[in-house]
Amino acid sequence: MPRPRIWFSTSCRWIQSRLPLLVGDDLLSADRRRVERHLIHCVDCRARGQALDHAISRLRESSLVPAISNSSSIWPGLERQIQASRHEPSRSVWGIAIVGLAASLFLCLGLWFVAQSNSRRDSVVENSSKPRPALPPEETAGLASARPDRSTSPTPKDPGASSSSDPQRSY
Amino acid sequence: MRSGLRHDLDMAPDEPGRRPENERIGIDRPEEMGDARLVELARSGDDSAFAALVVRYERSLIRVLTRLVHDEELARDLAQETFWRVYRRLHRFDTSRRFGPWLFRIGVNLGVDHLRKPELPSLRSLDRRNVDGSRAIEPSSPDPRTRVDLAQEVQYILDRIPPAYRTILVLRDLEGFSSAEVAAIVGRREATIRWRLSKARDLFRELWDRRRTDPR
Repeated sequence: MPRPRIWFSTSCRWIQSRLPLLVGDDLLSADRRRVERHLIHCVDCRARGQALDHAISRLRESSLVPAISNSSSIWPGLERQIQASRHEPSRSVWGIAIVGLAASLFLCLGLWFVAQSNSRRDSVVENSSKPRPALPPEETAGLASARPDRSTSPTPKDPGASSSSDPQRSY
Repeated sequence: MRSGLRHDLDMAPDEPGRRPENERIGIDRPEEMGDARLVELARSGDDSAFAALVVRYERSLIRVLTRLVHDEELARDLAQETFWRVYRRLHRFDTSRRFGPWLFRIGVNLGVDHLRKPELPSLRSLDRRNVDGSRAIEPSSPDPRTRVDLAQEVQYILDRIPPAYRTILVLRDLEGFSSAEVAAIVGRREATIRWRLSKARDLFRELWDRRRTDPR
């Protein structure tokens, strides 16, 4: 009884995907036995296997021809390249130098800003603690006459104003 | 059939459990030291140790790159660039792993990057001449009878295979790496490499058959 056609074609496809590995001796043993059993009965697969075997044999045969003719070593050129690389600063050295320079710049800028803000703060403190210039004597006298005598009857709203000549008082 | 590269990697003496003889008896000749020891010495500034690594692997690497880019001078330039990158990244290398696949991964990536540039190497290769002055390939030539002709014809077909597949074919079928080694070099799982290898061989067979039956 002939085998079903579907089974046959699927099997042939499976076999033919493994034929290239069979001819190169790269097929696992279980698959190899299955493929070899199939080839006994299948003419198409056998013909394809023979064509593959011929082509791959020619491919491998061609490897017997020396691929290279120049026998000189590449080491002298490579050695020059290595020596030259040692005489020039490496990329990492340049990187470290640039990063260091940038860090120094930022540090200087930071210190400058700190110094600037400190001097501004000092000047503000100095200005606020500096005594205001005293009024001319005639104005002081005028103010004293126009003002009630607080030393005898200080108001509760101005408890600290004990003397009209207090340099710390504010106007 | 197998070329020297497989031998180079199989002989890599820094495999676990295979300490090289020179490390056991204290021989200090760089060319006899294991890769891991040479890497450690190179890291500490010993140029002769790095030179030993270069001499050990350069021919294999140039051969792989020549097969990839089909231009020996370009392959030498790429190999030098590969070793230069390796030298700069030596401090990143884990000496418990094998040096060869790491080196070849960097080299193959450089080669594939070159192949993916807009320039079309396949067109260029048609007009290129070999060192001896002969044409690189004659697409309409009859079936080759010598190995050199065969190599040219194979190279012509390889140039028409996408770089991702070509790399696998070169490493596995021309240079003789195992699937596991190819996986380590390309940085993929072994199953992925087998799948790609199957596709690449099928593609090569298709182009090979078409070329033989389609005399332009």
